[in-house]
Amino acid sequence: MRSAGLAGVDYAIIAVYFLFVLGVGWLVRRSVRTSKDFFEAGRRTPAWVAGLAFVSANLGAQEVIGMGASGAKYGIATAHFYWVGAIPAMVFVALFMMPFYYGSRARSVPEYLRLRFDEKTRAFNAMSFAVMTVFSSGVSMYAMGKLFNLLLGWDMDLSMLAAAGVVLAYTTLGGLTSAIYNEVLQFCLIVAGLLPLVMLGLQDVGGWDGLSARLAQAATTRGLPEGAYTQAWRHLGDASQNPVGVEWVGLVMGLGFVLSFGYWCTDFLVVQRAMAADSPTAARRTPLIAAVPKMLFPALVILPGMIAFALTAAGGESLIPPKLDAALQPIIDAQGRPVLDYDLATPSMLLHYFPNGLLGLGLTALLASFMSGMAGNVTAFNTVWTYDIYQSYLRPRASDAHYLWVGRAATVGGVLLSIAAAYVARSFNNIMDVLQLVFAFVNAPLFATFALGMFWRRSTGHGAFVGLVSGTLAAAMHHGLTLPRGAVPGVKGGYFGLLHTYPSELAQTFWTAITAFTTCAVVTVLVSLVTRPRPPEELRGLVYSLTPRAGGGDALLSWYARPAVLAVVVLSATVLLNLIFW
Amino acid sequence: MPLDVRLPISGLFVAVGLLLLGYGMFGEGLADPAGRLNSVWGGLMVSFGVILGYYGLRAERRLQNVSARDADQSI
Repeated sequence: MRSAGLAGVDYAIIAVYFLFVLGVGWLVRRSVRTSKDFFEAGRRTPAWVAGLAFVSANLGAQEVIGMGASGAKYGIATAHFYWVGAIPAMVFVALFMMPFYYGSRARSVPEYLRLRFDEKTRAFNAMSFAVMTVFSSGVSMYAMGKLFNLLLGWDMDLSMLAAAGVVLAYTTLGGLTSAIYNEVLQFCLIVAGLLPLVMLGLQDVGGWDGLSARLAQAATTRGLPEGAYTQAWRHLGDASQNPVGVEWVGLVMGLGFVLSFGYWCTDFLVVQRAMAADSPTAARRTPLIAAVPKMLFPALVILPGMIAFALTAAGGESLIPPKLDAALQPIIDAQGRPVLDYDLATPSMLLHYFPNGLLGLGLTALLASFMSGMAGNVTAFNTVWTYDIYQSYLRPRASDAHYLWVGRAATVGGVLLSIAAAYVARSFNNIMDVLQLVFAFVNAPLFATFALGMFWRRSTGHGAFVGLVSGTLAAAMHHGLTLPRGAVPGVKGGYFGLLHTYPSELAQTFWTAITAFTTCAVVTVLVSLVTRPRPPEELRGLVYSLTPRAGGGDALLSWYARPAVLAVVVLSATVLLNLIFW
Repeated sequence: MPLDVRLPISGLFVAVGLLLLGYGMFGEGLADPAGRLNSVWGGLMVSFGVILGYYGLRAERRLQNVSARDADQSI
C-alpha cells in the first residue's frame, strides 16, 4: 500500500475541520450554566438532531474501519450487523424503553437501575460501564494513531494527543450539547467523505453486477458458493457454506437479539443522546430517526471493503496489503495465499481512488469518525462518574455548580484515562478482540436485567444483582471453555480448557452472548422469586404494566411524525433490504 | 439549543467545498480528471452548505421573531 503524499489543500481541510469543531464548542459554552445543561444538554435537543447524534456517537473507528474490514472478509453478510443487529433493537428501544428512560427522569442508565432495583445493581453497572467506556475510547484512539502513522507517517503519539486534545476542548467547554452538535457535523462529514469513495469504486468494478461477478469468482476459488459474498441469507443454513462461519440461529439469537438489544437498549453512550431530546415524543422518535441512516450505512462502510477485496482477489492491483510477521514477511495461509490485513481495506481504497483534495476530505472523515466515537464515550463517562459514582457515594449534597465543575474535571480525567488505555492497548496484539469480548461480557447480561426490570414487576434488586454477576461469570466460563477454529488458548478463549470449537470467532462471540443473557435471565428470575419485590406504587413509571401508556399525545401529531408509524416504515424498509440482498 | 445546528454544518461544507472547488479549478485544472473530480465534489458540497444555511438562518429568524413577540407581550 502506498503511503499518502498530502498536499497543502489536504492539510487545509483538516485544519478547517478542527477550527469548526473547536468553534462549535466555544459558541455552545455560553449556554451551559447548570449541570443539566452540561450532562443532559438541558433536555432541549430536537428529535432530528438527537437522532443523527444517536447514530453518529455509535459511528466510531470500529465501525468505519471495522465494517470495511468485515466487508472485505465476509461480504454483504456484514450488513447483518445493521439490518439484524441494530434496526430491530433501535425500534424496540424507541417504542418500549425510551418512555421509561425519559419518563423516570433518570439522568443515566445506571440511575434507572437504582430507581428500579437498588444501589448495588446501580453500582455494578456504573463501575463496569465506566471502565468499558474509557477502555473503548482508548482503543479507538490507539487504532486511529496506528492508522495515521501507517497512512501518513504521522507520529503516533502526536496524532493521538492532538485528536484527544480537540475532543477534550470541545466537550469540556460545551458538555453534551457540544458533543451532540459536533456529532451531527461529523456525521455529515463522514457521508461527504465516504460517498465519493463508494461511487468511484463501484464505477471501477462495473457496478453491483460487476462486483458480484468478481466476488463470485473469489468465492468459488475458496470453496464457497458463488453468492457467498453477495447474498446475505441464502447460505446461512450451514456454517461451512458462508464466509462468516455462522448459521442463522446463532446469528439471529446471538447478534440479532442478545448483542444487538444488549447494546442499543442499555449502552448509555447512545441512550444519552435520546435522553437529551426536548420531549418524551422526541425521545421516542430519536432512535427511529437514527435507524434511517443506520440501515443505509452498509453502502458507505461495507461496500468499500467488498470492492477492495474483489479487486485484490482478482489478482490485479492488490488493495488490501498482506499481514506481516515479525520479520516483515507476508503471512501465508494453509492454501498458500497471503493472509490479508483487512483493517487496511478502507484506508487503502481512500489512497487508491482519491486525489489530493478529496484525500484530505476522506482522511478528515476518518478523523471525524474517531472523534465522534471518542466524544460519545467521554460524555457518557463524565455523566456516569459525576451522578452515579461521585454524587452517589462520595459527595451527595453539594451544589449544582460543584457538580458542573466535577463534570468538567471528569471530562479531563476521562480523556487522560483514555490516553492511558491507548498506551496499554499498544502492548497487545489483539486489543480489538478484547474489546469485543468486554462488550459481550457486559452488555449481553445487562439486557436481560433491563428486560426483566421493565417488563416483570416481580423482579427484585437481589435478583438483578445476582443475575448480572452470574451472567458475566457465565460469559467468562463459556469463553474460557471454547475456542474458534485455528485459535490457540489465550485472549481468544480456551483458558479453562476446551469443550467446544466454533467455526469462527463471530460464532463464539454470539454464543458467549447467548449464554450470558440466558444465565442472567434464569438466575434473576429464580432469585427474584425467593426475595421480596418492591410494592407496586414504588414502581409506577418504571415498569411497563404499572405505567400509563406513552403515546397518548401521538394523536395530535401529523401521521408521519408518530413514532408507531415511523417504526412500521423503518421495519418495512429493513425487511425490504434483507429481501433485496437475500 | 443555542444555535441552529445547520449553521455550523453549512459553514463547514461551504468552506471545505470552496477549498476543493478552488484546488480543482486552479490547482490541478479542469483538464485533469483529478481536477474535475475535486471541482464537482467541491461544488456539490458548497451547494449543500448553502441550502442548509438557508434553512438554518430561516429557523433562527423565526425563533428570534417568536422571542421578540413573547417579549412584547410580556411588557
